[in-house]
Amino acid sequence: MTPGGWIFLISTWGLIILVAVYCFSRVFQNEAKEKTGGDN
Amino acid sequence: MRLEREHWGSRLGVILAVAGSAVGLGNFLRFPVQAAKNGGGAFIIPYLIALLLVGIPLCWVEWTAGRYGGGFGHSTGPGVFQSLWKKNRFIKYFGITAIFGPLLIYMYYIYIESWCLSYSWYSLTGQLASIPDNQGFVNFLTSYQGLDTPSFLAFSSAGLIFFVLTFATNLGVAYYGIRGGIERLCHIAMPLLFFFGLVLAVRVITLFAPDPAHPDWNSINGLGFLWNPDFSALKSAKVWLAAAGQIFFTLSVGMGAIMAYSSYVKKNEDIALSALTSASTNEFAEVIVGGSIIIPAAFIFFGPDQIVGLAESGAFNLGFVTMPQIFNKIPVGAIFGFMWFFMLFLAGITSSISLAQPVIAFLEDEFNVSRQKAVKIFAAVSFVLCLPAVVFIHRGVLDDLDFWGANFFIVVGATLEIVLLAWVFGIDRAWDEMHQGARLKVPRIFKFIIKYVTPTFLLAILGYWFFTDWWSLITMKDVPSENVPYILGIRLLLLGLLLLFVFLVWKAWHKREPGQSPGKEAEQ
Repeated sequence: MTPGGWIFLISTWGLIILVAVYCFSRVFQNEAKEKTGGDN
Repeated sequence: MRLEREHWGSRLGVILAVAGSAVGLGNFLRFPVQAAKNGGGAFIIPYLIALLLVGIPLCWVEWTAGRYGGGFGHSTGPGVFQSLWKKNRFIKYFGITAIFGPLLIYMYYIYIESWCLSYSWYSLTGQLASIPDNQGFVNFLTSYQGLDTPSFLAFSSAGLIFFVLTFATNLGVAYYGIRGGIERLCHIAMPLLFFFGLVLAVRVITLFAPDPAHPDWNSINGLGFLWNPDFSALKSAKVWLAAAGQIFFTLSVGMGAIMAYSSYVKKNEDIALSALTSASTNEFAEVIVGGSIIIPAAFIFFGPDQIVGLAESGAFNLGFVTMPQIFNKIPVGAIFGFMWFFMLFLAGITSSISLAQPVIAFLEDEFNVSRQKAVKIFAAVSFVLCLPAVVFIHRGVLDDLDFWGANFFIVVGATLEIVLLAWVFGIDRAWDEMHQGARLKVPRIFKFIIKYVTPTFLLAILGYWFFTDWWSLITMKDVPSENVPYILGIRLLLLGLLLLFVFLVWKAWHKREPGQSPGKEAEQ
């Protein structure tokens, strides 16, 4: 694999993982807040 | 009396269901092949641009339109479009695209999904392990499809049994409704799908270089085949169109499935974060999991010279002919083979169930029939409609359905949705509607993108298609002469179906008293 290939792979995977983790953490955080009645 | 409207049991439930609709066979078969054929790592540039400018904005649009229509008791195009543009008497007929498109895809998708189920069975029972070579696998597939002996109808008894089994499983899930059927299925199927996918990706990457005679045929170079950028490919318009097409195909936008699902989201529940979460789940499955299995595995066992030809041979050839050969070469390959095909089956069923939902919901909402009765009607009609793709597969019927369903109607449907929401309903109202109950503030730049950039992009794709392909498609210029009667027959059937939907929409609205908004009782 060329250095360019590594750059594309790592940056794309990193971006997708980052967005997915951010979204799911927000979803779970909100669900937890709603269950404990702390949100509204 | 109007039947009570269902809702999702949890936010995670709807996210997994929409992600399940989006994660399909294309994530694991189509994406890696498209990327390998269109510039490798450089393909990711137009792919990500299309995701930002078309894919994600359309997800937000479809979720917003769906939840808004759901507030008036509508889950499908005709009712949702009418809710968005109340004064126009004809707009509901344009909404038929969001029922007709998914039905067209359903008509052939179930059959392909059944291949995955059967191959997972054949992997477990060792039948695939006994096939010695490439030609053996080609013969096995053609025999399974009933193409080994020349005949008017192409089918095999095994093919039909697995088709019926797959068809029945889909309807069994649909029968139990949104929460009891679809949500429950996705709660089990989606984690299992990711588990199988990640196990397979790790297995492929840890194969390293299994052939000592070819140390450069290794998993890192296999990933490199997919990721090493060829920037010259970016000069080709074809590459940009392929990337946009892949985004459309992968996110299930424009076909009405997301609209139907989001119509069961309550008025004050979030859609902005949910839409982005389901889209990112799909991208994880496609780029990270899908990109780490089929192409790297084929590279490791067939080398750089053959991989180009394999990628050119198409996604199905790679999935159903090449992959089983690879599983035969690795320890406990039968288990990995089962995981591969069952993962494809799970990806398929979570998508096909979302393709069935618009028609079922249309019958429920607009004719006030029970869920169970709607599923029974859909079962009887769709079984007959699925048969042409099975028995005339050798006549190009499946490919023709794929073009109209998965290419033409989704682009038309997406264009109508976004123009209606951003221009007729109004971008300011749409923006407010999208942010009602939102757990995520969408950057304001997307207001501009949704109003101007995405519709322009979609109109450009449609314009390009009309300019380049329209006439040759209508006149069947590229269809072999012996297949013309079959393609003509299926197109007449589709035209008849379309007219039937026009009649049903007319009937549904006509039977109500003037001024009565259909499903108004369900308004939240």
